[in-house]
Amino acid sequence: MVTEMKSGKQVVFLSGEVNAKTGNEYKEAITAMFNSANTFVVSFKDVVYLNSSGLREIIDLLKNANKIKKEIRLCEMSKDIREMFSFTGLDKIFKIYDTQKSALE
Amino acid sequence: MNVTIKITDRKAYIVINPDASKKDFDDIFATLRSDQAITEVRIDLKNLFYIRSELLAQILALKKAANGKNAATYLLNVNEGVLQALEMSNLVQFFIIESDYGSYSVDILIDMFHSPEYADDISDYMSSNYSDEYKDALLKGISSEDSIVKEFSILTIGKAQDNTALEALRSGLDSTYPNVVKASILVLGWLGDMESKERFYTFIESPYNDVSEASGASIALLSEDNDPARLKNLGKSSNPDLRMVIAGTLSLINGDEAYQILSEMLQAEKVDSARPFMVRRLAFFNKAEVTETLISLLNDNSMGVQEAAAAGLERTGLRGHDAEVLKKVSSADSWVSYFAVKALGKQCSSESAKYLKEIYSQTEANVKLAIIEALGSCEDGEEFLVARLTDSNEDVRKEALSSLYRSNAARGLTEAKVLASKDSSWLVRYKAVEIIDNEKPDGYRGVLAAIKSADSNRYIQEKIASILGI
Repeated sequence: MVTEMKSGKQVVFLSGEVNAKTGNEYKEAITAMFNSANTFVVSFKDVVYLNSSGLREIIDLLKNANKIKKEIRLCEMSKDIREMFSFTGLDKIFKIYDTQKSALE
Repeated sequence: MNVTIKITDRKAYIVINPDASKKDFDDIFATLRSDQAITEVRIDLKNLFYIRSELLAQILALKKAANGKNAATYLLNVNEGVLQALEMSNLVQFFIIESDYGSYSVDILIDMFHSPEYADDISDYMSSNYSDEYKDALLKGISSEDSIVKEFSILTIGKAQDNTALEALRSGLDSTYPNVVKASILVLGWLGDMESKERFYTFIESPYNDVSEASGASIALLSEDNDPARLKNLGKSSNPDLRMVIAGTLSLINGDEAYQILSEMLQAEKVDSARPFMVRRLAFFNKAEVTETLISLLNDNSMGVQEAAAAGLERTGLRGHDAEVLKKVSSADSWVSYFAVKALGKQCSSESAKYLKEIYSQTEANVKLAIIEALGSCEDGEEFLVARLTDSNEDVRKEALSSLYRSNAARGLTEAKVLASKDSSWLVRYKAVEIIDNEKPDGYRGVLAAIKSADSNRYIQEKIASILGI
């Protein structure tokens, strides 16, 4: 998983398929980095596939973050990935930004 | 007290009431003067629904006092009427305007759920600052008879991910209001409430599409091995909206059985509005055969299906089928050709780029534009794009500039600086101005101001004025 510190925020780049296995790995890796910043910008730019098991892991990640007052921002989703968040209503609980730049502001 | 001040953590918090007079501000200024360490002056206007010029003058004086201390001035909770007055007097630019819902009582916050303008923000605020006080008020909201308050109370508890409120959240499933039922279904799905899953199945055929969609989504989030088989028959419904819900649910569940069912549904689907949706959902299965299906659908009779197939291929890549797609680029049907180029998308290889450049002159106008767009994602498309900047067709020049900028921002900016004042088409000049604004090179404001004074086109004038704030 590629990460980058920008403007005091940790940017995390997900890629490929986000399913039960990879979603769990991403969740664990990001949770382990919680000490490095208060805000985590998670880019979906290179995410090609996403399913409900992957979404469950991302919901869990948000729960972990909320418990210790860390902020999770999602960005750079393709139209189809964004539609999955909208279908499940998860666009209401996640802060979703069109671009990485706007998520960093 | 018509004006109050409280200083906490070097921040002065001032609340102004409608009847405040100039005299009421004397103590406020004295307090500000006596405290040197203030870094922020936060003026809460929640009680003002209009503003008298006398109060406006006092707010400006507060701003001036804050400036004297190098403190930032915030205007909090600015109502529409006050905002209009600030805009009309060109004062908006001098303040940082924010909402501070913490200054409202919980009852007022719940009541603000009725305001479409604020409801989502209030819900976000309450979930981010979730406390026992808020929880009690939201639970009261769920048991109220007000459908809007019920809906937003449920959503807010869901956003706060409070699993201790499941019973109250489940009660929303018994509501007669579809918006409340939908909110409950979604929230219980987010919270992983397996006990409610059977209830979701009872709502999936709801005449309210929102409720049906929410049921499908939450079933997917709680899915187990036997769910695809349960959804199969529903996918044969005579209702195309329900078939689309099932397609979305199967796609989210993913897995072999879900794929098989969705493939069969797509083959059987005859409704034009449903087929593109199913193609998009099918493209979320990570299977080699999906690529083949999508490539064959580039020849479909429906443009919606062709577009969905191209978008799917663009996202997933061609898995070694580049040659087949390139072959379609030279199709006699210009739309097949167009969507084939779109399918190449961001993974345009050198070989593909070479072919696209070769075939360019023989293609229709729509395909030309698609090729120019695709070359913006190719490493060796740059010179070809620069050559298109002098094309006689303004759409080609505009698209070429846009692609060049995407391919090489520095070179795109260099060309944009020239075209912004020289190109004969305002469409191209407009794109060039956008690029200059995006890159903000040294002295860009002066460059744009010069373009504005020389260019008589209304859209260019307005665009630059909005960038420069004049």
